[in-house]
Amino acid sequence: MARSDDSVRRRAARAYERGRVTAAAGLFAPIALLLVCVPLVTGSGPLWSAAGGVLALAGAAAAWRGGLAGRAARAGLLAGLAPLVAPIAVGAFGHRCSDCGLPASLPLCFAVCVAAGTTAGAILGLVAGREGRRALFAATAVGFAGASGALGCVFAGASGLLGMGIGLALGGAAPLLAAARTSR
Amino acid sequence: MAANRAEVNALMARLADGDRSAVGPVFDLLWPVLRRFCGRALASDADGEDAAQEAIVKLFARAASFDPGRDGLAWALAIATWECRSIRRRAGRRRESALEAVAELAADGDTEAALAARELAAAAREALAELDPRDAATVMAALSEDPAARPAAVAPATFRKRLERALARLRNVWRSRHGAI
Repeated sequence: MARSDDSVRRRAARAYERGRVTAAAGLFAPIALLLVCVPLVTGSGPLWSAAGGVLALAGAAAAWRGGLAGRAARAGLLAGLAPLVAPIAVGAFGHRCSDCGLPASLPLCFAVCVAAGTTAGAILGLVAGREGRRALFAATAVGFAGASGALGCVFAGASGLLGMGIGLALGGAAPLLAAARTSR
Repeated sequence: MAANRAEVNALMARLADGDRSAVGPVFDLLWPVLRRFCGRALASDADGEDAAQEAIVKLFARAASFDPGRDGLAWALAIATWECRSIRRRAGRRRESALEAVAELAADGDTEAALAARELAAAAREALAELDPRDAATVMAALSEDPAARPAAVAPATFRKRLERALARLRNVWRSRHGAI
């Protein structure tokens, strides 16, 4: 019953790693479901869906590892939910993304991708403003947000991806610049 | 303790963020505190050790979800308190089952024997309640058929000695309540 301190220390360290895996899995399981399902629902194809699975695994691994990468992955994937679910939002307007064709519906898809990207960028800009190593955090988080957002905005083709990219840059620039100015 | 508290909070925040280098220092700071706390909260040393071990393992398992805005030491003690309560509940259940076994002895016999057994069990329960919790736990562990009920950390000779003393005290309590044994 009574174990030596070293044995208890080893048990505690193992429990810590188990706890981190459980916490990462708990956080990323619903996001992984979205990352895998949204491309299938919007008709982007199984390749994009598989990419979503890989992205979810990468995010969970970063969250398990922790530190700046873990925080950035979490923030990036959560912010990236906005452009990821953009096709569903467009569907709410009565537009079917799977039938998306040039030219009539494209402005709507493009506008939604820009708006979703701006939302994600603004969230990341605000979160990154609180970090010490702001540039590295922002780069990692934007990488995750861009990748997850692309899985949603790819429904509108290259213009959707471009719109999301513009939105991310627009939304993130202002809070990051403001944070940089105050820290000077 | 004030300085320790700030140190614990800082280390717990690092642990929550995934800094593995904080595992050792957090363990070194909290393990003695939890051992002392559980040792005082529970009558038996072995139970205290078990509760402290469970508490420290659970603390590390939940460290990833620790909110740095909370007090780390209070959080650790809350987990330890919960573990102590669980162990007390388990010990209570063991005691109940041992006393139920006495009552079951009479279940096969006639009504008068069953009544006598129930009264005997009730009297034994009352006498045990008057004992020091450690003595009561020793007597119950000796009565139990479950070998896990006996504290493994205690050597058999020590356990026999403890049982001998606990039974002597139980006899005194019984004599004072019922006059004869």
